[in-house]
Amino acid sequence: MDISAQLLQSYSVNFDKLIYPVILLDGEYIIYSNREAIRLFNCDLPERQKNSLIYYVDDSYMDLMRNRFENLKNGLQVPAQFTLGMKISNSILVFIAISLDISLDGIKYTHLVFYPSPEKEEMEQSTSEPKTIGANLNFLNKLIDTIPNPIYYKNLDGVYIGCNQAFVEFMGVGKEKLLGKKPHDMPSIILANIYHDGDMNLITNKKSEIYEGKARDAKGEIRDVMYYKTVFHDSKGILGGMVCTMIDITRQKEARRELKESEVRVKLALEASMLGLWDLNLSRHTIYLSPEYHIILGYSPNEFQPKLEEWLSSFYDYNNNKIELLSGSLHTIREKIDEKQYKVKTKDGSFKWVLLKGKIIEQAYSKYEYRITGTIRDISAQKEAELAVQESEMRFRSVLEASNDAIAILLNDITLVYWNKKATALFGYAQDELFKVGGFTQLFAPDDWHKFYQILSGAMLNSEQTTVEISMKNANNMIIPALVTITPILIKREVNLVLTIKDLSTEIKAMEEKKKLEEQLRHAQKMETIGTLAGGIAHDFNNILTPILGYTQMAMSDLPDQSPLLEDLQHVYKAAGRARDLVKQILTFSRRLETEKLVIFAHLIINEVVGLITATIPTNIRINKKIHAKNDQVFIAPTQLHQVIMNICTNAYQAMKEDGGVLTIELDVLDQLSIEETSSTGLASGQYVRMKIGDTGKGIDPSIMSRIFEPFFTTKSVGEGTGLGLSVAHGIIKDSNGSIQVKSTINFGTEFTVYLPKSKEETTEIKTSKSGFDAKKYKAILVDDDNDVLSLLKKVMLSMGFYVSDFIKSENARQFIQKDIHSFDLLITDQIMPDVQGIDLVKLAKELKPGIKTILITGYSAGLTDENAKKSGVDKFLLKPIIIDNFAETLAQIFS
Amino acid sequence: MSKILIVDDDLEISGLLLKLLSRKNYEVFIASSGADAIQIFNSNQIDLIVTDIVMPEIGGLEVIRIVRGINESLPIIAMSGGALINSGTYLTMAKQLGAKYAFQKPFDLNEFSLAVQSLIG
Repeated sequence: MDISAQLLQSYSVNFDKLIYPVILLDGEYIIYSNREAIRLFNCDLPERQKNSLIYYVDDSYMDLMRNRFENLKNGLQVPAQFTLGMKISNSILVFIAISLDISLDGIKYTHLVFYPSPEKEEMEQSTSEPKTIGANLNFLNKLIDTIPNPIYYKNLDGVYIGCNQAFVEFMGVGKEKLLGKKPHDMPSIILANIYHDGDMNLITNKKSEIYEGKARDAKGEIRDVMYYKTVFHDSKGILGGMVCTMIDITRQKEARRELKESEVRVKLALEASMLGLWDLNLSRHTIYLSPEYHIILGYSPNEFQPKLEEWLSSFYDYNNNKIELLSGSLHTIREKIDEKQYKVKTKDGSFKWVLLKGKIIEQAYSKYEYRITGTIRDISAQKEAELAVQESEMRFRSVLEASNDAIAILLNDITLVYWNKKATALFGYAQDELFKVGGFTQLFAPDDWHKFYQILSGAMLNSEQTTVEISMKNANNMIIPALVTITPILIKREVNLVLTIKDLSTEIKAMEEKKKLEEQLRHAQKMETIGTLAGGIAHDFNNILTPILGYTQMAMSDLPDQSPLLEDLQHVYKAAGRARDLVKQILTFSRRLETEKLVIFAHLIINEVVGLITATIPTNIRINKKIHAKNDQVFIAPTQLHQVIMNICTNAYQAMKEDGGVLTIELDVLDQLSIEETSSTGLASGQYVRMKIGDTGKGIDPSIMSRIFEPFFTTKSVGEGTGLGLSVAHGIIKDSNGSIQVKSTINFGTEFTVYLPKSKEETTEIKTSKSGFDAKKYKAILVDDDNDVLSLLKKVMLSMGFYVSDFIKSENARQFIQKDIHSFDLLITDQIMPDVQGIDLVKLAKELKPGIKTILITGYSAGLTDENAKKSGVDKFLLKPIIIDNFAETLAQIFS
Repeated sequence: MSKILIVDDDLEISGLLLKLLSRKNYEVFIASSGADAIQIFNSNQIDLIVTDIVMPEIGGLEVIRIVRGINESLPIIAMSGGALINSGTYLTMAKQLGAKYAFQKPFDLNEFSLAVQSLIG
């Protein structure tokens, strides 16, 4: 039970029977009225505004009342007696009110007793029962006994003439011992002189005093006491003595001191923890912000003075959007303000993260006031770190997510706790579908899991990165061959497993593809070998088979029909026949291989054909070969091009068979076709190799011109031609994206023109570039002291067509150079030789004939730098050991 | 008795044909090279030449060309083991040069005999 309830109970016991109205006030509000007061003033209304005493006081006394309440705020008043007009059912009743202020636990109460005013009494004397002074006195004694503050009064001599029960208890001296005595008359009263002197002083000066002093209570403890003292007068206005109310404020003082200490502590704590304090009074619409609050926001203390509304909207979210604090009703405040992170704008406009904590405080003093108070803490650094961690975690996560391999993380109990997008995509499960005990095992067939588990355990046990190839399966139970790298990592002293899962499906597929390709290549190579072999052996084989079959056949015809040998020979004949068929098959097969397209030089095929037909055509036919360009790569099967040229040449030769003539074969490379050519061939634009094969024969009759490319169309007699030649040629050229055209004039001749797209690729046969080099024009001097090297190089050079003068002795070579260098084009010399060094021969040769080409052959020749050698006139170097291909190439290069 | 010249660097084949044609009462000459063939041709009244094509030095085509230069109408039969890439062409060319028949070895002796018979009776 709190103090006010205790007080109220004691009041109702003591005052409800009293014939005078008694009221107890908390500030201006009535918290207790006795029965008489309720009857008279009708002041037991529940409405708060009507509980104010002011509501019952007549307007003319209002100022007095207000003044009193105002004073009460500043401190307790001495007991007072004043006239007060009260409103009673439309009339005014004037009372003598005696007021007594008391303080309990810091709350100030005012006690009011209403006595009928004397004037009123006189006015009503005839009608009401007269009241005796004695009764009044008795009441007064009773009244002051109920008051918990010690009260006493003295006469002019300082003798106690009255006190209340509280005073008796405080002093520990009975009333009967006290009354009629002065303080120092009683030995039990310590400090009696001080009390007495103080009181006498008051009486002498005839004034009121309020002051704080000390008093010793019955237990001997020194208490802090507020003294409220005033002198009183008797009914005739003569000074009668003094009255004193003591209020024990020891507890309050202690509380205040404690409060002060705790305030200091709180302040220090706030300072130390950088906590700012805020305090809102929603009823009064006020706000208090502590100095720390200001400092957090970058202001100097008390510089930031927002209005309540401004403060409530001074918070921002992560994206710097304003947030309205407490925008809802009061009921939502609690949850809203309960520890949340916000951003606030500091004085310089930048944002800062703060932690706001708050609590609603409901005060007993005034239940209808809402206060919310709390702290603010600067958490920028912490938040920044947190965001940095988040960011870094995001970065790492994005690395994992971006990985092209599936990545999974398992706890040491094999629970899947993370896997990246690639993993979910690979296995076809939802993101967290397998994040449960046993989930991960669903990615394996039982046998595979058993195997994999052993490896996992091993990796965990040995803390060793392990890589394993294993079959996994996806959500559709399809097997995924995977290369899994298991990396155990330690997180919070527990082993986690990071698995990198590489899907090998495509690799295996690629490997199979490669294998297949290799197989095909090997097969092709085998076929080629067989083709070559077949070509090589078939001739001999056919020659061998010819006598076998022939003699057998003859022997069989020689034997009489009944001869038992006949059957045996038939077996030989049949078997040899099978061998013949086999060779035929092999030949057929090797011809098929010959149709493979390659990048080749067309002029080489022309040379081949010309070489072939030169030997066979009659002497009255002259061959005129004109190769205008040698960059004539075309993509075609060499044998087919051979066939095309051969077929056209055969036709040309036959047209001139009787009268002779000129077979012209012309080749050039066109960067683009003429308009005429484009329209007649219908070819796309681009570079083309053009071959013209013309004869001066009888020409083609215009009537059959349109049919010459038809299969089986022939003008030749049976046995001379198949009628397939030109149609085959047409087919081959068309197949190679080319065109074949014909122009003919009767008795003047025919010209076939073949267009083939020029291939941009290098030829399959690189060696041809060397064959373009004609060494026959050149004479060379070759010097080397090593006989083997000398003869080898000489042999190569001779085979290329050089004229070579060779020397094994450098001195001989020197003399020869001196004399005959002018008729030579090239000097090739070894560097290290007895007598004369190669470099000196080069110098000499260059001196005598600056245009001569020089090649120096060197081993690890110390002291001879490239630069030195070049200065001496060396055009090319050859390093030992000499590779013949390089040597031939170098020779070709030096004259190109 | 008609005279037949057989030209082949493989004596087994020329031996076989010698035996075959001798029985049919032809007088058979044998040459084992192009040069031999020209020499024999020049010194004898040959009625038919049977020549192989692929031979060292002077090949069969050359032989045909030379013979044709001397005698435009002399019957010639060409034959070839025919294993080279352009073997088909060789036989075709032989015919173009004037061989009446071209045989791919190994061939049937009866067919061959018929061909000979058709040319010189």
